[in-house]
Amino acid sequence: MELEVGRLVLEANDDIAQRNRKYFQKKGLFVINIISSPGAGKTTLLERTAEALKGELNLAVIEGDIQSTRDADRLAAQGIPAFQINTGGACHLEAETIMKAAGSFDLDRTDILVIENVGNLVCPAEFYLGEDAKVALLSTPEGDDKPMKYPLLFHLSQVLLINKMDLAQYLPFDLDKAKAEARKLNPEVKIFEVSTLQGRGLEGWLEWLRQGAAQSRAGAKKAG
Amino acid sequence: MHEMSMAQSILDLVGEEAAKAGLSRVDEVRLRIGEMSGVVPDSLSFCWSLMSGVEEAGPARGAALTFDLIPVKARCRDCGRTFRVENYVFFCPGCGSGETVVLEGRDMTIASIVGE
Repeated sequence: MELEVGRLVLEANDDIAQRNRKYFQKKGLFVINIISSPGAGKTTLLERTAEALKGELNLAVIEGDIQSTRDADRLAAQGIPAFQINTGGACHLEAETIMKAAGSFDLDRTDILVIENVGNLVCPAEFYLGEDAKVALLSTPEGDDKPMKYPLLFHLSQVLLINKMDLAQYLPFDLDKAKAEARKLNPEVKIFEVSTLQGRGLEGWLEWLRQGAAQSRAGAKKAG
Repeated sequence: MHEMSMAQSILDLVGEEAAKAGLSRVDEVRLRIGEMSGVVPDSLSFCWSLMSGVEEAGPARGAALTFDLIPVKARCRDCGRTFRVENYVFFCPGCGSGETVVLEGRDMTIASIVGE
């Protein structure tokens, strides 16, 4: 006999992610899931972002890496609460570990919870963690063809940060092409051109974070 | 990259469904894999052959894994047109709007199982 099933293979992860999301909403947190290749500048972006928002919005960061506490140490050295998850070889973070990591922060004093996913453009996009938005970070040395090579990530990301713009003049990176292809995948994507190392071009990104944090806070208040 | 854990999830879900329906043996697991799901069918088949070949696989031991590839379909929020997304272009081919909603083709589901 044939038995209809109709269940998502990733339903266990998705269920936990939905639970995460409800909890984060109740806490009024704005939660973002940052995904990029290794070395694109995720941690530097967070250092600059926390610095720029100091005294205004508090960040807490969940760091996903295969191994080492290098990234969490870097952030902690700057006074940014950070929790390191070592996946021990796994190429992405899953919803279950996020809730455990989030519990290590004083969430009542946190406005923006950042999940810095494992450096990888493929698998992290497939696992919903309960975030409000995915953010893709693409650096110019990686090449302008990345959106079309890794369509799911660029399709799902609300924001695309194009980083290392200071290097673009030395590289065969076609900015217009990268932007046009990212828009094909997600016509509503917000694109910001930045140089995290130099701290340039971050205004639009910071404003987007402010708006997101304000919305999350208002949502929690309304729900009482 | 993580087709091994996908294969494990399929095994778990099939085990649950088989128990619910009182199936002692599952011969085939039919999947619907979205073109944009990120799943690589060949790697998944390979992982499945490893994981379903052992005793721990329970009723799904030795079951064949078959799949239909599901094209990406979207609907335009402005003009209401439903269209197949080609070459990952999510603009509406009718009115050019960028406000489109994906209907299917982005995930992987177990459609059905065959057994007795």
